[in-house]
Amino acid sequence: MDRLTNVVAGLRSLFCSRRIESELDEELESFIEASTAEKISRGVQAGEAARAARVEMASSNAVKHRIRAAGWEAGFESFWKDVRYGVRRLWRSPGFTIFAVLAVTIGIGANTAIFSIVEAVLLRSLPFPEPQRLVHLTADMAGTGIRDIGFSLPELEQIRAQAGAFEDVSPAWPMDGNLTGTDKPSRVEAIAVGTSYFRMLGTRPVLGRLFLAEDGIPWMSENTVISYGAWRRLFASDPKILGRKIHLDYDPYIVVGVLPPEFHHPGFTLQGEPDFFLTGSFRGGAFPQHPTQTGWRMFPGAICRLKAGVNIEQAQSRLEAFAAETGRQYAKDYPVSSGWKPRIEPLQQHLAGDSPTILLVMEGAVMLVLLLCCTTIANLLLARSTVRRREFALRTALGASSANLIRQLLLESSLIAITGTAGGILLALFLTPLIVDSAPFSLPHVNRFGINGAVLLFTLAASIGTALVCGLVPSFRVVRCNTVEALKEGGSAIKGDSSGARLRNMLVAGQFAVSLVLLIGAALMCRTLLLVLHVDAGFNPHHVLTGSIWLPPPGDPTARRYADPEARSIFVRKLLDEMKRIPGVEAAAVATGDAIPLVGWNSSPFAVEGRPDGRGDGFSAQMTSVSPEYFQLLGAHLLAGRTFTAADDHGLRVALINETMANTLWRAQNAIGKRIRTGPAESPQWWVIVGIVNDIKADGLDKPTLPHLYFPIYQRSDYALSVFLRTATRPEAQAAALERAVRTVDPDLSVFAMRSMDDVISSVTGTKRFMLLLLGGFAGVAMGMALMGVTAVTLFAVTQRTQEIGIRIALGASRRNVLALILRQGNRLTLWGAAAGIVGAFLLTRFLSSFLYRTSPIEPVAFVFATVFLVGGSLLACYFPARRAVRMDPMAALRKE
Amino acid sequence: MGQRDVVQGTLEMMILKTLALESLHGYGVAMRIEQVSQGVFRVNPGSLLPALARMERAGQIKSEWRPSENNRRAKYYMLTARGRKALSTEAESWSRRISAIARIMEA
Repeated sequence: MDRLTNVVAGLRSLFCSRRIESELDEELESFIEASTAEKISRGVQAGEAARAARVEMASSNAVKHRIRAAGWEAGFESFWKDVRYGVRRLWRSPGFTIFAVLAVTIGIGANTAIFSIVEAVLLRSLPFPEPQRLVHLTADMAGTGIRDIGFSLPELEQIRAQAGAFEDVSPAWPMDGNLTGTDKPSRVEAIAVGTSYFRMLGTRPVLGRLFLAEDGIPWMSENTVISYGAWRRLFASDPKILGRKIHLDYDPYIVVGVLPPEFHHPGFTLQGEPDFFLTGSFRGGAFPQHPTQTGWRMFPGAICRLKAGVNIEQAQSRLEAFAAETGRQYAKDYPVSSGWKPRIEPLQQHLAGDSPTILLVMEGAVMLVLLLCCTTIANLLLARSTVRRREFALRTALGASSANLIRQLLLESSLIAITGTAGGILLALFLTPLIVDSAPFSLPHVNRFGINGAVLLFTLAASIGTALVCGLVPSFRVVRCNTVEALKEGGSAIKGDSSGARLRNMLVAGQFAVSLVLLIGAALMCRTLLLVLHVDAGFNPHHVLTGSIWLPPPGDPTARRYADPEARSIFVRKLLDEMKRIPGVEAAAVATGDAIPLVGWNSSPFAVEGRPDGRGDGFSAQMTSVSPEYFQLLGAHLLAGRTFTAADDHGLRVALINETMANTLWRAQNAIGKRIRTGPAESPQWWVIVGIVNDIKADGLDKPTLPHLYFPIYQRSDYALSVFLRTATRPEAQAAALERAVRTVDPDLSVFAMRSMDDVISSVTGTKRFMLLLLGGFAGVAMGMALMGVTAVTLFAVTQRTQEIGIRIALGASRRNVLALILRQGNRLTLWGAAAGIVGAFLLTRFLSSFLYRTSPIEPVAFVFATVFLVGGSLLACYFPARRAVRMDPMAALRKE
Repeated sequence: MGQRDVVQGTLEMMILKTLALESLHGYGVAMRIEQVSQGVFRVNPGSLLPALARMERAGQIKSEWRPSENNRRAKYYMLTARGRKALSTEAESWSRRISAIARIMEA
C-alpha cells in the first residue's frame, strides 16, 4: 500500500464511516468468537468461555477508538469534532457570539478599509515602468519665501538639456475648456503635456496612437489624445472616434488616440481627471518667445525621469549647480536675492501630498480600535472561562491535556475571528469608497483603491492576531487553573489570581480612558458643527440653484466672440431674460465666477480717494461683479443707499460695499458717495460707493468676513460667470431648464458645476462633518467595547463572589446593599478610566483646534457632557450583572460551598 | 517467567514474523504468538488490533475478508513486499541488539 492508498483509505473512513464501523464490529466479534471457541475446545464451559473472551477484549469501544486512531484522518476527525463542539457552544450563547463577531467585523473592516488606502497611496509603487526614477519638478524662490512658482518653457528646456539630471522632462499644465463639436457642449478638463510625456510613462493606447515628436509643432498641435473615461462619457465609446474633429474653446482638435482605462495623470489636476491631453512646442501665439529666460511661468510643474544611475540626491545637487550657473549667466532675470531653486521629490511622495500623516494617524486609530475589540472579547471569554472552569476541570480529569483545552479555546476564538473577518472584508468593500470619496484631504487616484493580495495579507495577519489575542489570554488562566480545587467547587481555585484581575481591570479602565478622549473630541466637533450651521451667512441658501459658465477665449483672436465687454453685457442681459422665463423660477441673477458665496476668493488691492495710497499695509477687498437682482435673490438686505439697477452700465461707475468694509473704512453711513480706485495709478478706474449691504459670507461659514466690493456686471465683467436661480420647488429640478436657457442664448456654451446653495453649505462644512463622523465612529466603537468590558468584569466578579454574596444575603444584607457592593467595583474602574480620559483629552484635544469654531479645545460643556454620557452608560452596563447577583437564591449559592 | 506483556516495540516485529509464514486473522495471530512463545507472551486484542490497523496503514500488511474455520467471515492479514522488507530489517536490528545485551549480561 503506498501513500495514495493511505490517503484513499483515510478518505474512505472519513466518508464511509458507517461501513468502516460495521467492519470493525465484525472483526471484533469474530475475534471474540474465535477466542470463545478456542476456550471451549480447551474444556472451558461455554458461558464461562464467552465471558472470559469479553474480559480479554475489555472495552470494545476503547479498542475501536485505538484502531481508528491509527489513520491520519483521526486527527482530522477529532479536529472536526472540536469545531462542531465550538460551533455548538457559540450557538448556545448567541448574545456573546453576535457581539464578538460584530466587534471583529468592525475592527477588521476598519483596518482593511484604511489599510487598502494606505497600500494604494503609500506602499504600492506607481503603475509605470521603473517608477522609482520618476520625480516631480517644481521651483521655489527661497529669497522671497514663495514656493511652487512654476516654470517657463525655456527654463524647462534648459533644465532638460543642461542640468544633466534627467533623461526626460515633460511639462504638465492643467486647464479646462468648453467642448463643442459633440452632442452637446460641456465643460471638460484638459492638460497640456510634452510630446515625450506618454513615452516617459510607458503608456500604450487602446485605440490610435499617443504623441510623437512630430506633434511638437509651433504653438499647439491639433492632435489630441483622450482618456478612456472621456471616450465613454462624451463619445459613447465610438469605435470610429479616430480622426473625429472637436473644439475646445473654439480651437479645433483631432482625436488621434484613446488612453487605457487604468491610466491616470500622475500629478496635479483642476478638479478631476483630464479628459483631453494636448501637446505642442508651446512656442508662438500667446506663449513666450525663446530665448527669454524667465518668460511667463505658466507651467505649474513638470514630471521628469531621472537619468539611469542618478539618484534623487545627485539630481538635486546637479539642479542646484545648474541654478547657480543660470544665476551667473542671466544675473538680471535671476538676482541672487530671489534665490531661485528648482526642487524635485519622488513622484509618489508628491502625489500623496499631505495625506500620509492623516492616513497614518487613521491607521493607528483603527489598529487601536481593533486592539480594543480584541481585549474586550478576551475579557468576555475570560469571564466565560470562569464559568466554564468546572467543565475544563472535568475534561482535564477525564484525560484532556491542557493543550487540548487551549486548542478548544483557540478554536472558538478562531471561529469568531474567521466569521468576523469575512464580515470585515465585506464591510471594507463598502467603507473604502466611502472614505475615499468623503475624505476632506485629496488622495491620489493613480493607483486603484481596492482589496488586493497585499491588503488581504494584512487582513489575514490582523485576523490571526485577533484570534491569538482573544483565545490565548483566557487560555493562560485555564492552564493555571488547579483541577482538584476547581472540581471541589470552591471559589478558592481562582484566588491568588489578583495580578490577572489587576490586568483585566486596567484594560477596562484604559478602554474607558480612550473612549472618553474620543467622545470628548466628538462632542467638541459636534458643538463646532452646530455653531457653524447656525452662523448667519447673510443670505438665504434655500431654494437657490447655482452654476458656472465659461465664455471661452480661443487661441485665435478673430474667433473670440466675447472679447468685447459689450458682447459680454449683451450675453448677460439675454441670459437673464431666458432664465426669468423658466416656469417655477422666482428670480434670476448673473455674476462673475467668484460671486458664489462661501467658496472663497482672493482679495485685490484698491485705493481710496483722499487717503494715502495704501501700499504696504494698503486696502484690499474681495471684488465681485453682480447683476442688479443678485442681492434680492440671495435675500441679502440693503443697509444704506441704493442697490444696482439695469441702468448702471455706460454711465457713472458705481459700487456697493459690505458692512465690514463700511465699518473698517468709514464708520458706516459716511461711506456713501466716497470714491475708490482700482487698477494702476497710470490708468485708474474710479468708482462711487452708492450703497451698503449686509455681510455675505464669502470664505466659508467659520471664516471672518473680509471687506467686499460689488460692481455692476455691465460695468465690469469677466469670462468666468456664475448664475443663480431662486426656485419655487427643489432647485436641482431646474438644472435642465437652466442648461436649455444658456444654450438658447449661445448653443456652444454649457453650464457646469450646478448645485444648490444648500449643497455648497454642506460641502464647505465637509471637513468638520468628516472629523465628527470619524471621531464619533471611533468613540462609539470604543465606548461599546468599554461597556462590554465593564460588563464582563462585573459578571466575572459576581461569579467569583457567589458564595460571599450568598453569605451576605443569608446574614441579612439587603438587596440594595449587595447591588451597591457590585456596582461599586465597576464604578471604581469607570471613574479611574474617566479621570485618565479627562487628563488625556486635556492634553490631546488641542490638536483639534484647527477644526474647531468658537469652541475652546477644553470646552467644559463637551467635557461634562461626554463624561456624564460615559459614566451613565457604564452604570447601566454594571447594572445587569449586578441584578443577577441580587436575584440569586442565597441557599443555592451557599450549597455550592 | 510468567505470562508477560510483549516487550515494548517488539509486537509489530512478532506480527510480521507470524504473518510471514501464512496469512491469519486477528485471533489467529494472537494464538500463534502465544503458542510459539509457549505461553510467555499473551497478546490482548486491545493492543493487537490497533497494531494491525497501524501496520495496514503503513503498507506492511494487507487484509482480506475470507470465510473462517467456523464458517463466518473473518479479516485475514498477509504480508506485503514492504512488510517483508520491514521484517528483515527489524530482525537484523533485533539480533544485533539482543547479542549486544547478551554480551553486557555475560561480561
